[in-house]
Amino acid sequence: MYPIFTNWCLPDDGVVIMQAIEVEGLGKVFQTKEKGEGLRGSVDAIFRPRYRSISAVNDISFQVQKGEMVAFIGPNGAGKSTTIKMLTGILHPTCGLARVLGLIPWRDRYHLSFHIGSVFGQKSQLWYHLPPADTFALLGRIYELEADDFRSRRNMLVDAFEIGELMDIPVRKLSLGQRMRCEIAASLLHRPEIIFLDEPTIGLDVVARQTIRDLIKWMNDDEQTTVFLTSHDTGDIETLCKRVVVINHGTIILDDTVSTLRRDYLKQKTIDLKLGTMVEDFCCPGAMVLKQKGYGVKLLVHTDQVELRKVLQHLVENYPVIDVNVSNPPLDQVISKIYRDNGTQSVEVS
Amino acid sequence: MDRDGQRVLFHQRLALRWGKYSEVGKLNLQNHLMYITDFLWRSLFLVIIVYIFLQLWRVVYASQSVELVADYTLPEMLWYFMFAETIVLSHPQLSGRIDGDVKQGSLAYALNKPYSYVMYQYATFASEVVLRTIVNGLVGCLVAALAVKAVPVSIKGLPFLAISLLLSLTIQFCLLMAIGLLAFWMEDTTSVWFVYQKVLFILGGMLLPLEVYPGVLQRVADALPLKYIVYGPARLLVKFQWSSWWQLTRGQLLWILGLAMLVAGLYRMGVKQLNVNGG
Repeated sequence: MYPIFTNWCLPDDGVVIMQAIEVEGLGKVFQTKEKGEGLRGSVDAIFRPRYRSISAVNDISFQVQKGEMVAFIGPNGAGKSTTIKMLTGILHPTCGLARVLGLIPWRDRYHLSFHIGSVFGQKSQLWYHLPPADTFALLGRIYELEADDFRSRRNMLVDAFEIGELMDIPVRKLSLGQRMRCEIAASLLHRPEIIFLDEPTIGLDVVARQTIRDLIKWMNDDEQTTVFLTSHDTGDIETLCKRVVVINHGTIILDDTVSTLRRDYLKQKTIDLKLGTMVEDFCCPGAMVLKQKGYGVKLLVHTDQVELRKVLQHLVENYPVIDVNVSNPPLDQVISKIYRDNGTQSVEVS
Repeated sequence: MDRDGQRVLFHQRLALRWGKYSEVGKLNLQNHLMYITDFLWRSLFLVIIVYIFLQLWRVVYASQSVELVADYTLPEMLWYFMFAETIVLSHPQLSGRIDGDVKQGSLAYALNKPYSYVMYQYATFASEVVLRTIVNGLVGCLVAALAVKAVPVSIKGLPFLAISLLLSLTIQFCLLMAIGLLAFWMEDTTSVWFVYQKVLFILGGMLLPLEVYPGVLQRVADALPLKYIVYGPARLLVKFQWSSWWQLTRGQLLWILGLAMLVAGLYRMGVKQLNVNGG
């Protein structure tokens, strides 16, 4: 049995709900059909189908306050999308409880859908052959907005997202960054209290990524929209969120502040340089040369030992830098380190 | 009361709830109007097939030295065939789209919006069929009128024929939707659609009016909903009678009722399946 959520009530009760999301012991098990190798396996699968249970999400618990911006990260297959699907009412959990804005998502999916928004980086809600203006009009009707309300809201979002010039261009002719701006604006038309962003910056270049990050920040600051963000890009998390929840193999392995994540797990930065001339005996104080080939140099910097700004300053002042790219360690590396640290801690405790 | 606690009149709520589907249909129409030339090119097939069947039927009527074949004159037979072909060519392969939505997981993403997935698909299907029927119908009428003399069509009956066509596309929608939803349990529904399409050609009365068939086949066709999709409306065009219109409409409504329940059941079970197998 799970505890009764005493601090909750349905929105119709008129009581202010402080928590946007509350999850307690949530789990999801899928059944997958198995097939043996070769022709015999295929024939066997027809007459004697075998199923295997896969635990996609395993007993997770967390809370998200109203107006909070939370990063929910993990590698592929970690259970991020399954969790979002349960929180948006698409999937029923196998066990546990979740409430979103006081509603049980899978039971009250229709009502909840008026209060939440979602953007899936790899799934577009815009009609591909038509301009975004048409999809906006359709979404206005789908979310049952009054005509005047829809117009003023659309105009406000068009200004905020600077998409006025894109509204009459067929979606297929927009760049990925432009399309994503339109996607996010479209998902805000009905003033959702919570927005689920699944990989909103995937495939975007540096400039477009920064624009999307600015817009997400605006959405949280100005509209007090609660943001539940999943991303592979640790840069998104560092720039936008104060809190991070890391999930792997369906289990939450870290629920902490982003500053803790940065301090403990994002200490290493990789700098990719492109130089104007070939440099022999490349040397930069505080940075370790990982690879040098032709005009390219790859450096590793420990930010707890030297300030990244100083390293970059040294590079720009002493070398003919044409291009520079600073990146965080890949998420897999961060997760491995979290596991290592958790292991160390448990040894220490025991 | 609406979701924001404001009093909303019943008819306003009804308009808000159902108006979204007409908007979906309108948008889909806009989407397809961008490719109107593609539709016209597709209609070329209609021109070819009508011409071929005209030659075949001329030979049949001449060799038998008869005025009527199963109660149809040659012009009536050709107009029947043209209209039956128009109906079939105007129905997009919906089951393939649903199959894709289920397999690629797009259906899951449609579930977190305040609309019914089935009704959304119906709105897009209906609007596309309407546009295709108009284009194919115009081309088909032109070809048939040039090939043989025009048949006397009941002008008063035309609006009722339009109702029959609307009900016909609804039956076709239910059947194609049901086939598409089988993707929850089957690896590929294309084979089912392939067989269904061929059965529709024969027992739906696309290739020949059902009166031409022997008694056994006619009885099989009578027991299926397919004749309400093609044969019924096509026969109405050339031989409009109020009694046959009413008989057709009654049969169509009964089949729609039964098939809608089948689709609702399959959809509900399918969404449960989604829960078991994942999005």
